[in-house]
Amino acid sequence: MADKRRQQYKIPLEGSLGLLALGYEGLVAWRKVRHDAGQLKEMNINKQKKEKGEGAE
Amino acid sequence: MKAKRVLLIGWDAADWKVIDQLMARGHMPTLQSMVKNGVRGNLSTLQPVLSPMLWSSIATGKFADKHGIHGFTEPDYEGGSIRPISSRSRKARAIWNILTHQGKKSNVFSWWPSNPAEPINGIMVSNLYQRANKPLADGWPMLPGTVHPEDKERLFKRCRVHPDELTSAHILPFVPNAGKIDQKNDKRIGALSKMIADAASVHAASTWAMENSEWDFTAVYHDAIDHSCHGFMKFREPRMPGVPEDLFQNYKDVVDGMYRFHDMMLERCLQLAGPDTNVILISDHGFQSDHLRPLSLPQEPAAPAAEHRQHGIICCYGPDFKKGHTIYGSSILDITPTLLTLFGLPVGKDMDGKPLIQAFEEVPTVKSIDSGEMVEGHFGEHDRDHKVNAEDAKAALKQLVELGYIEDPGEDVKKAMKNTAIELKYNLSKVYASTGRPKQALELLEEILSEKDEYRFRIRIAENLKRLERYDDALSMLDEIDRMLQDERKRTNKRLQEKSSEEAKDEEKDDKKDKVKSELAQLKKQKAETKKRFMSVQLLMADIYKSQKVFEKAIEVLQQLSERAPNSISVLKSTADCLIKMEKWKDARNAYISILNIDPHDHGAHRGLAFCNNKLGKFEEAVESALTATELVYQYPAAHFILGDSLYHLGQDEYAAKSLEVALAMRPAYTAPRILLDKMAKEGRYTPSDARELTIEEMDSSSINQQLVVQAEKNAGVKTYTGTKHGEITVVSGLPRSGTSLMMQMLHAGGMEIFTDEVREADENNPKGFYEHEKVKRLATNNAWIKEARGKVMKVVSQLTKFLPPNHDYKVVVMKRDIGEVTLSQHKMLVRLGKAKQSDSYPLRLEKTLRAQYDGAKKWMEAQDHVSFIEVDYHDTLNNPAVIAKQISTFLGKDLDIDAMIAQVDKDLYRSKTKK
Repeated sequence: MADKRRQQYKIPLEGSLGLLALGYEGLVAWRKVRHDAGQLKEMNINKQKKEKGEGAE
Repeated sequence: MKAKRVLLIGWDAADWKVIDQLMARGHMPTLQSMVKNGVRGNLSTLQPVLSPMLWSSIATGKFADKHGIHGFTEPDYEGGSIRPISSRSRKARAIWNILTHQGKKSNVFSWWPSNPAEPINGIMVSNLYQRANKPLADGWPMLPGTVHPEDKERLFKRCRVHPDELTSAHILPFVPNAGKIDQKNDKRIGALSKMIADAASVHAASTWAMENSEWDFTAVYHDAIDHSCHGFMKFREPRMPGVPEDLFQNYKDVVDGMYRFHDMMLERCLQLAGPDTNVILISDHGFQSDHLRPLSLPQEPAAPAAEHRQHGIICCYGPDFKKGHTIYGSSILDITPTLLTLFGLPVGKDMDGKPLIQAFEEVPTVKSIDSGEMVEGHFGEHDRDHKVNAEDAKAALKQLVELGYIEDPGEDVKKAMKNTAIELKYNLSKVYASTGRPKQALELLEEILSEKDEYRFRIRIAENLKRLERYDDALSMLDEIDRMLQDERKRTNKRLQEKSSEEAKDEEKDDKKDKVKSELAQLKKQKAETKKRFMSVQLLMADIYKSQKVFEKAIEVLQQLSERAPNSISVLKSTADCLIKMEKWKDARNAYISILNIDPHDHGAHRGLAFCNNKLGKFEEAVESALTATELVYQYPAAHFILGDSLYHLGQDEYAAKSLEVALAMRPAYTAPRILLDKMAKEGRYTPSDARELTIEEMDSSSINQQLVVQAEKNAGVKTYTGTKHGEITVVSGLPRSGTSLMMQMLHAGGMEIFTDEVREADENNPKGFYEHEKVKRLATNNAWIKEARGKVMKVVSQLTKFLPPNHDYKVVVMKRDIGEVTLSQHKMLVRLGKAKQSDSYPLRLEKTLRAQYDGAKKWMEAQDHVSFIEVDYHDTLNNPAVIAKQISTFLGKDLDIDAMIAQVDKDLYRSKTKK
């Protein structure tokens, strides 16, 4: 996400107090990062299963 | 009004004592900026200091007997249980109801109590919105009635943050040792997570609404500061007796961390509100944060309230408020009248507060109506048949039990309902007693006593009997209580003996031993509580004797008490009061000095000391003490009167008259200042001003009229007598061995008074003396003495400058010397003192540390509004003393004796040329 000076911040997966202090916007941004990371994790698991021949769910 | 809208933020229990410390360290930059560009003041709370009652008074401008919220819970006779106090129990209209009637849009978040949400014009999210009572995996449904309008429920549900979502990134800033704590046995991290999540939920919801909805008024309430104080204030620095070292180390930063988190949230709120918004930040009461923190809590319901402090905070900021101003005499009752005035709406005459016009940049027109309660129309209130679900109420109740605000009602629900009803009546009796209605208070208490016999009800009955001047009845009641307490003491001692002998038996099993230990601890607590109760009984007895003018008897009781509790402020106050009534001025003076040794901020003791000094003919000392009292609490007519009377005796007629006028404007029925002003007029020493005429004509004799105080101050030209140079202190700072003593000598020779105790004598290291004061060395832990340095110059090493309290202005002369030289000089000094060896290698690490300390002090000073400083090079001082002396004289704005300053410079003293 970007602040007024248009600096880009990488949102940490574990969140931060600063994000909570940003309120709604910070919370949504943090949850999106968690959600994306969750999806990525799931994709990796499926990929590994596929490689092992277990088939993806 | 210039502003388009108003943002009201409530931080339960926020206290300037903590905030000022944090702002001085640069840890609350947003609030610091609000204070700098706005108005600050103390906000007096009401009795009893219980949050649901107080926040309802804030929202209605009325005492609790008018608004109807009398406690944390209420009996639900229909549901056959008890439930958290609900918005339906409020019988007075809140600010958002009035604004709804006026067609204005309000957004209200988590106000206590606001469940179920009221159908106002705008958004209301209730105070039960953020509570999470179960793990997230068990689901987190939102209670019906939490959100208005209902179509926003899904949206706000997503704004909630569950404690289980939080990670170490959220906890470590508060508890750096969190990873090492055994969380199975220590539940404090879990409690802290709930507080952070609660605050984040309310903040997320309110920021969404501020950004995405139209609004004229937004009110947001946060309780996390209050909850963190109840849970963690005992661990804050300085360490309290009885607090284990490991707990202290683990949790000492939690309270400060919570304030800092709130400052971060505040920054976002101000961004979203924008420059066209008037912002008011308030708290309902303060919280003891220093040596006055109670070591134990009374054994009665709502006991945590004993940790609260009388004054909360107010900070007003925005287009319609003054800048850099302090207001006095504000109460939580004043918030709604102030809000109405900001919106140009009339203030109900049935409201108990007043608009805070002192805070406005331009004196506003205050409109009034008899009452807004009878006006018909749409106010966004509940229908009468709106019911609260008993199950929902129970879930919310559980939260209150866990937070320690209420007792667990237990299984016997009927008994719990009866007890709840009694608590509500008891709280109402406190409202009556604290608002000058002892008769009503007594009636309620007698009704309660007929249902339940407890010490606390009886002692309140005795107090109100005394207020009604029924002294014999009050003494009889105290005799009865005394007998009850004696029986209780006997019973407790007997059980203590029994349990002690049980504990001594070796053959008992471990689990039984633990049980006995815990029972013993409980009994010891009970014994201490009984001792406290005995003291309260005797204190009240002494008060009654005083009222009966049987002073010897009162003193006899107080002396007995004093032997048992020599440091009890209550006993000392009562003694001083009695001695004043006996006209024993010197003894009373000593009693007040003893109080101030315990609590230097006790405004009543400063006032008492001023009074005694005045009676003893020590008028200058009386002026000093009275000024301190008015600095601590400005709205203090008695202190202004003593100030005026003492100034009159010192021949300072102009200032005397101003002080007397202010006293009279604050309390028009106060005859003493009026009599003295008349006397001064007859003596030709005073010409009455317009303000005084207005005072007599227009003022309600029972209340403080701010408009006239403002006018009296305006007519007086200055607020009141402040003496010369009060509030400003000159400081010489720098790293040790950077020429600070030389600068002190120069300033002394130049004509400035030095703040020194001369304890540290001149030696080989500083042949002309150190010019230090032992008290300065303790600046980090005790700054109560700072006023002694007013108008003087004191030496403070760089490392301690950040502890200079912000209630004074400082002009700092910073001595700058090559850090390498300083390091070597310090090293040589240590060698001379036998604390280091000549052969030791160059202390490179020390040099780095000193550089960091110097830079840190400079950075701190740059960030402070109350500090201005000049850097003076040590070598320039030695080589060009005339130039430096003139520069310093100009910086300090003083006509210093330049030649005498130059004469102090002795190049032979230039030590330790760098030889790395």
